[in-house]
Amino acid sequence: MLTLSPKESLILELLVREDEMYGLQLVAASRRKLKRGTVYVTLGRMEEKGYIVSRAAETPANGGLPRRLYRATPLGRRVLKKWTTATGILLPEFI
Amino acid sequence: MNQLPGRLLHRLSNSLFSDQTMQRVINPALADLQAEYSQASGRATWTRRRIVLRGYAAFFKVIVFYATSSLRPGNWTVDDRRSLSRVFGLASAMMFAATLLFLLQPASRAVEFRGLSRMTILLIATSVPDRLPYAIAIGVLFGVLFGLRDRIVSAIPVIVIVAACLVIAATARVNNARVVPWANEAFRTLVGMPPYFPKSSAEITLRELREWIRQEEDFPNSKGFRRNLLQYHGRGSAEPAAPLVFALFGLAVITRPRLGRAHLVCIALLAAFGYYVVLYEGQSLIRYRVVPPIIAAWLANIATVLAAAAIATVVPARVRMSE
Repeated sequence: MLTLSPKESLILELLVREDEMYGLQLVAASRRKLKRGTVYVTLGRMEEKGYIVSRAAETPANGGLPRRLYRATPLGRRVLKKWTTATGILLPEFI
Repeated sequence: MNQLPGRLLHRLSNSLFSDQTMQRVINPALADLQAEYSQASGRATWTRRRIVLRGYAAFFKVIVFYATSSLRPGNWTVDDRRSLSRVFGLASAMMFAATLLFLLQPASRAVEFRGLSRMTILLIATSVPDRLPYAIAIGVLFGVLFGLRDRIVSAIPVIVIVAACLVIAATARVNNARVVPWANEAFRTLVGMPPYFPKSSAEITLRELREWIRQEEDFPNSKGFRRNLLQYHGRGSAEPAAPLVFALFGLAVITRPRLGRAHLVCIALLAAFGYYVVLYEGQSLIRYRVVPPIIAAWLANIATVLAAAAIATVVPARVRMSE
């Protein structure tokens, strides 16, 4: 069964809205709901489940590590849609 | 990346974690730190330092969160479960054997005093708490070395073993602080030795020992007695860390290129005997004031951790922890 934790659901919402984002952008856009220390573990788990994909951005000119950009997959978009509908039916008073 | 922070952390992590974990979890966290640092290049030094500190804090949170989320039983593989059951099974068996070995001397004394009777068993039982922390440490060392031999060492068994040893160390500390003094007093009472007033140094708790040491500072003529108290306190506070220290040593050895059974037995015996000698010689150093009491007390633990660090640094690993 495909499930979404509140954090996964929030990340998918943000990625569906903005298309492609860095980890720190997700943290900033979440209004403190996502934490810098936990976001990459959650993103890694979502990538394993196939909800999102990531790619390395260009290597910086100073030779630092390239940052990663995240995007929702069609599966992730479908799961978010179904999940939002299901929670809307089951828990209308909390939505 | 010459002037960028996080290079050392990247190198260290690279030798510990799998490529997938590096790519998905570690590298993005370090890339954020470096990107933020680069963006702040024209700003005040304290601003850049704050960014570096915040980045390091975030990195360590990532590691802790990754470790704890990996520990959920759903993430354990069959290999992880087998490795852990082998380690804990062997450690328990070796601990039992070592405890019996260490009880031979008090048992022979008890039989000498009372012959074979119910009292003899009670006398032997009062000697168990004193011997237990070191016996557990030996059990852990053999358990890690032989339980993980010829197995893939992934992050989960390592984290579980270290966490278990932390709990054991805390319990052993309570044992040394409270149970051992009580058992020593019980032993003396049972064999009918005359009562000390108020108690002997071996029969008071670590807290009382600290209080006595503090009081003895006011009497310059009683330095010999004070050093005796420092010796008891040193052993009582440092020995409980032995299982954790031996686990780290065992993990450093077992993640290096494969060694035969005979080699592992030799390494384990050398480490266990060496630790014992340094622990007790360290207490003598307190007596002869060669080094400060706190250093002497922890000398065996420091030496074993340094040996583990040297092995991990000099000999290349045969496996990476999270593979």
